[in-house]
Amino acid sequence: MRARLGGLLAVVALVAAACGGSNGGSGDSGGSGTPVDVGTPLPANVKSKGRLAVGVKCDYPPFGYIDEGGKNAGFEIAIARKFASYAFGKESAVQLTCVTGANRVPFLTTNRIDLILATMNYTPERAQTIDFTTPYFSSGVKLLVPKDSPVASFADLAGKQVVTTNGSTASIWLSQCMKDVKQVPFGQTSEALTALKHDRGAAFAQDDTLLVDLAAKNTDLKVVGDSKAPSPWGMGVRKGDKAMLTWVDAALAKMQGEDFLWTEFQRAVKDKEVQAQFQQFLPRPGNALKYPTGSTIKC
Amino acid sequence: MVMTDGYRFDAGFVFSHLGELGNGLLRTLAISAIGMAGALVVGVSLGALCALRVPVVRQLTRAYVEVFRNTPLLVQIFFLYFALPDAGVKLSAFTVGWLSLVLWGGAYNVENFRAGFEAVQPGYVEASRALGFPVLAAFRRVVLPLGWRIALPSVTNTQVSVFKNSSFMIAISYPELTETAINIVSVRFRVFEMFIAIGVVYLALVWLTSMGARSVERRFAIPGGL
Repeated sequence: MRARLGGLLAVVALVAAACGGSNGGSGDSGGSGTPVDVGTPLPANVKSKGRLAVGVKCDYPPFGYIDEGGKNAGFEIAIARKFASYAFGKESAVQLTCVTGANRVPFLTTNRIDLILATMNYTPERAQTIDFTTPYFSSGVKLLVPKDSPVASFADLAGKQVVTTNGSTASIWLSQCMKDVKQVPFGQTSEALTALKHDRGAAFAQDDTLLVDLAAKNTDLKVVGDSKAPSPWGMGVRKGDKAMLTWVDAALAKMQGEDFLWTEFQRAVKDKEVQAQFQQFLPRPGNALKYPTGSTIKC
Repeated sequence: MVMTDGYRFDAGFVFSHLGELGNGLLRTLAISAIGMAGALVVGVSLGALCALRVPVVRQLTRAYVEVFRNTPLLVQIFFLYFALPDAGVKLSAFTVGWLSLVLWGGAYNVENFRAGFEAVQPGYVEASRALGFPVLAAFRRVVLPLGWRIALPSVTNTQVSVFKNSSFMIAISYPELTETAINIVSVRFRVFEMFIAIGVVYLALVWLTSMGARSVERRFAIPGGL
């Protein structure tokens, strides 16, 4: 019921945003039809098309998903629409394409989209194929445990079995930083979740963004632990496309200056407690995010 | 280690993980050994009861065989591991590992042995009955010794499959050889070296098994055929 109401509110918010002006503030954010100068020219190929093609997630609430009305919604969708309003003066000048973790980079490299804005964290391997914009969010690894679990932090896991998914940041971090933890890794989130519910591990270690959503849907579970292995999320542009990278970074800096990202995050995530957990992981005036240097995980 | 162009083969990579892979292999051998032995026992005993046309048991065995032959092994493993706990039965990954192999291989072996026993010429059985052998003795002394020889090639097939199917336990995170290898690969990305290495291990072990089965076949062959 609460989720449905939240979805409805999100729709209302989006409609209001699309109608323009109603959320007021800086005045240049609406759909008045006048492009906003971000300090650097819009790349010619995007300008000539008259719209920005963005690859987004359609199954990852609250970042990018399809709402009950069948429309794209979420934190990242709001950012994509903001880009369109900067570029063309209207939030509707954006073409959203659903992408997955596996196909988002090919979508970009084959020119089907101009920008990846799809829960993608920075890795040196990816940075060899695409260029990353400045980070706009940062996730970390936390723990999902049953409501009545004595586990409250990573330290409580010493010597215990922990459910993970294969190759995840959580799995890599645990194997490097907590060698006395015995991992039970699964291929899918759903399998790992079932295993946790059947008490086959003391906790399920995974990206906090995913766990927050799982905890919201499974009221017998809760998220604990301080955030480990911080991994900033970046948008992706084609390798060597300097004009696009410069424009997106400038637009992002403008959003940061307007505190747009924090405003939209609060709109996408209603839970005040969750908002507070993530506040430091959003670029705000005076709080810029950075990519880690080097590829090794820090314990 | 960071690669900017083509893939560079790194054989040393596999050796640096020999300890983990060795533990994985031991677990593969453990669940496979129990699985193969169990599948053999289930196959011979239920196959015999079917061939002897024992009522009720025969129908129940039929149902068992149909269920386990007509559903994917992966579904059976998932059921035992993920669904049974909801019914209050929580089995460890190790138990699910060998049990699913016994049940799956057993179903195939029932058919292998039943076919072998039923292929023994009825004349032999009739002759032994005429000589005064009770039903069970006739089975034990005539049908069984001839039937298992007929069944052996197809039983070998099934046993080899049971061994290779131990790799399905990746689905329930049982750290046998394949699961261990894929875990290492998912972190280190040395796909080529790792899969060649475990492929060679499986190939060698299956080849040895087949060789063993063939020598048994030759050793127990009845001169002049059956």
